[in-house]
Amino acid sequence: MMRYFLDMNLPIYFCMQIGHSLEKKAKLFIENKNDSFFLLCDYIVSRNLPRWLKRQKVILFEFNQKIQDQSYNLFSSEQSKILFQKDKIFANRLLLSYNQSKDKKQFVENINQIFNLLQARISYFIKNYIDEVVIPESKIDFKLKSCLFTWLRNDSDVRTIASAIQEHSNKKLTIITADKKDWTNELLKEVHNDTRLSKDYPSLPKIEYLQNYLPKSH
Amino acid sequence: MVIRKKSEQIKKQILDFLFEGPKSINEIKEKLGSNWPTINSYLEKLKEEGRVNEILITDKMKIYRRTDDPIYYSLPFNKDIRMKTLYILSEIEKRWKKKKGVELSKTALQKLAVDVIRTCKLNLPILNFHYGMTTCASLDSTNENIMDLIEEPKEKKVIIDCIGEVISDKNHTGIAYQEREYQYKKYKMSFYSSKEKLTKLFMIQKNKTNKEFKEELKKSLLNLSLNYPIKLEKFYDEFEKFVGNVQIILSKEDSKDLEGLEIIKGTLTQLWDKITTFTSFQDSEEFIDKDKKQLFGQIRELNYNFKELNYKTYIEELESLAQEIDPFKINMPQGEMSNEVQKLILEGLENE
Repeated sequence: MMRYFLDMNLPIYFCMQIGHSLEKKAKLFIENKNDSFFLLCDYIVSRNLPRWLKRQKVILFEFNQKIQDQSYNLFSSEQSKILFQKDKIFANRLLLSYNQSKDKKQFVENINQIFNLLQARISYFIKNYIDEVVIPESKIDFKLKSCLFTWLRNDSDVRTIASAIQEHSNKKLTIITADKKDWTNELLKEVHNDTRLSKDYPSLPKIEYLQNYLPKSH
Repeated sequence: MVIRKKSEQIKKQILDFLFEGPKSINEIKEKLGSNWPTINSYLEKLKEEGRVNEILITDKMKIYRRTDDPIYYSLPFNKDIRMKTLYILSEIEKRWKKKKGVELSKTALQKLAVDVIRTCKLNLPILNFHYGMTTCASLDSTNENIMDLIEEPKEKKVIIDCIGEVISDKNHTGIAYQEREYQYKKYKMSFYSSKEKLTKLFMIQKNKTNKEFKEELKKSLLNLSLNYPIKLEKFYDEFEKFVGNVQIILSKEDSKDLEGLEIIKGTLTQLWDKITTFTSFQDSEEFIDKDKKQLFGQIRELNYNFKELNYKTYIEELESLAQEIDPFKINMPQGEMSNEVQKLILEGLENE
């Protein structure tokens, strides 16, 4: 029985409906679950995904405020303080698309429906497709995290990968991600350059990329 | 006989003092120049008669109010605020009846009184209550015990002039729903307008097919979302949770029935109540004297907790209803426009 450790992007691709190549692969992967075991780490379930979803809600709030009142000063709400620069660019691009759209009423209906449905689908996905949430965030090995952070300056990725390595030392698993750039076997091997970590984690998980996924024939 | 009369006098003195707002036993005993056991025993008697009750009980003190206290939530506004507000309400009611020959509804009375306070630029609280802006008091003109205590304020002439002006405004029809609509339009209260439309839709539901009703309900909810005011962003998460769950329930494609309609209505009512309780307290706070701020805070907490409890029951039921639905069976909106939005979301995922 395969144990797959899922990167956060995978559920989000799975929840989309535009025919994007990674969305198709994510659907293929999830729908061919069969007797495989799907894992998500606690950091993704309890923190990263809710935080991402919350930011999407705030983006929608800002969008709705602006289209109702052109004098509204974008990102002046208290809650918009949690937005990253890229979220602000996203909100501005949504507004640009809205301004260019011929059917503004429909655009607003669609965007609100997409955001609502996305939230519901992600919650449903976790409840119905995830078999286990592993490694409580507070139990992530600090040394492992620091080691990975030397090579990968993205705190979310570091916490997620560290969780995968730790869980792999409990029971073998395979990581599945769409991030070919940062989530590499080379990165994982850096862990073995540290004497203590190589002892604590003698075996490292394999990484499979969603882009290369092909369903196994039964 | 003499003793009984004296007892009634003391009770009246206590009630008259409580007309100025909720008070502790200590405050009452000081005002009446009596002692704690005597006052306590009179309060117990008044309580048995249903004329007072405790608004707050802590280890250290009890705060009493009149059961017919005309002030919303029995908030501890000072005597001046109470008196002026009640005077305005009673004069409007009297003058409306005299001019139009009909009784004024409670809602209409509040709407006219708000206009009077605004027109006169009186420094009196206006609360954003569940049916729009209101004064801080509710007048029951059949209650002689209260009516007898209302005194004329020194601004009497200005107030009477304003009342005349407001009553002459033809947009004031005296009919509750028209008065609400007029106020929402006049003061650009678009969030309230959207809620009013939603409430109306629930009322005319029976005249529509389920499909029509579901579509209109979705649109009305979207309208409510679009008009969500920035000053209420504190509640946006909860509001959004409500809207999101309702949209899922209404989008269930294999159902022609109106499942969960009562829960939807109930949750909306409780959420609205919770939000407007917050706004009412927020609007009141600046009018509370310094020495009453603590009591105000305690009353506020009690009410917030109560509203929260009511709301929680409903939203949990709504959520569990929505969770029974597979959202993957509901299609994302189709077309170029929707694809573009989803693509933008995916682009934002990079480096997440």
